[in-house]
Amino acid sequence: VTGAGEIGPGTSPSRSPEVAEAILDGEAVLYHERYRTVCVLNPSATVIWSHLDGSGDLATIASELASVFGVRQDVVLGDVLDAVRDLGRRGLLAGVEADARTIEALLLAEPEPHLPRDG
Amino acid sequence: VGPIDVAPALTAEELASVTWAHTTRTFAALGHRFAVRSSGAGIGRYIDAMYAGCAVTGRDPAALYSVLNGLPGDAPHALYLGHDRMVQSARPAPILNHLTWHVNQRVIAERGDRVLLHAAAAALGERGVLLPAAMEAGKTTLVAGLIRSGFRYLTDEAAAIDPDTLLVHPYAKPLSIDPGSWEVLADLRPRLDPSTAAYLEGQWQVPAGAIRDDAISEPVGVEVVILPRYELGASTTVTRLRRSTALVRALEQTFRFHERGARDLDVLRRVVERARCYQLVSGDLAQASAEVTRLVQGDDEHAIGTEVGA
Repeated sequence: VTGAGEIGPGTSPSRSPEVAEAILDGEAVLYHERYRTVCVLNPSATVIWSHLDGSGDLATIASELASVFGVRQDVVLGDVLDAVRDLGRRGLLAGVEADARTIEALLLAEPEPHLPRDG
Repeated sequence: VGPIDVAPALTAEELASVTWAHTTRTFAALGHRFAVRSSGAGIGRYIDAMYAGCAVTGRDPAALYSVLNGLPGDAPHALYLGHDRMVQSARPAPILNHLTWHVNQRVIAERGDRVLLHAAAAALGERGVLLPAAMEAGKTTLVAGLIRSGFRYLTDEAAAIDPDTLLVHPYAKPLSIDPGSWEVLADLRPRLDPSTAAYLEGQWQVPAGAIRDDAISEPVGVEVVILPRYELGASTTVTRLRRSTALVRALEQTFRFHERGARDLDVLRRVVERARCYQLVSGDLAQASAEVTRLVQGDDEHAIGTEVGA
């Protein structure tokens, strides 16, 4: 297990198998079954998320995205690293240690039925 | 106030010896099948009317509640489930409040395979609107207004979604109307004799059938998801929501979500994917009802735009 800060261009991260995803209009809603957290990714982060299958390193992913979007590779690589480290802190990547305070902020509480009013 | 004298709980034999003035029909509140017997006839008849939308024939109750009054001591009112005393009180209102609360709890506990949202829901024809929101957001008041406007009732508390068909099934509990809405819904005040009316101090329990005959909807699909919020004095505004936002807000209102989180996420994704999604803020029931009607009819010209930011 590594820390999110150790993720670099040569890292080949993969999505955690404990995460369920729903993608709506290009935005991913992610639920971590063990941490019981929910978060939403913006469209850019969702594209990056969809590439994280462990088969390619982040430099390669950034290169692919740079050519698709017509943006300089070094700029894309910086954005990709920021986004993937953030995903790691949220506990969404296999083998990357989550940040406890980040997890706490993303916890999903369940509703309770109305308690009776003591009329 | 000194300690009150609460009599010991009745034994099974003592409960069996009570003369019951009224026993209700069997009610099926989603998976919770129950009946209520009472030592007072007035409250028994009213509970029968409250849950009329859940009445079923030819099925025995799995749970039997007993509403007692006239017990010795300072707390003459009590509610039992089976042989277990649930609450005993000096006043009748906590008895009915506890009964409705407990039925809700059991509905959630016995949700079966359905996804259950803390939401109101109603239907205009076959077009369903889902109104997920936290407590005090005005769900019950809004759904009462919608029934007045021609909608049919599904629930004011727990919307049950079939994971296969994605239809919302009715949980036609009585609308639980808090004092803050008594003025705007004054015509719904239950007209009861004083001893029965005392059970509704603090919260009215109003069957949807009291608003309009034939008020209960068949199961319907969700065409519109609206996150309602009542704000005193606020002008009525509608904002288009990104579906991801609507989905997260729905997840936040899903009962027992973590038991089957991945499954429920997928079910709600499919619901939201097919729906138009809005946030509604209003301080006026008539305006809010009119706006929901327009949105369900497909007119969102009044919507002020799309939320921004991710």
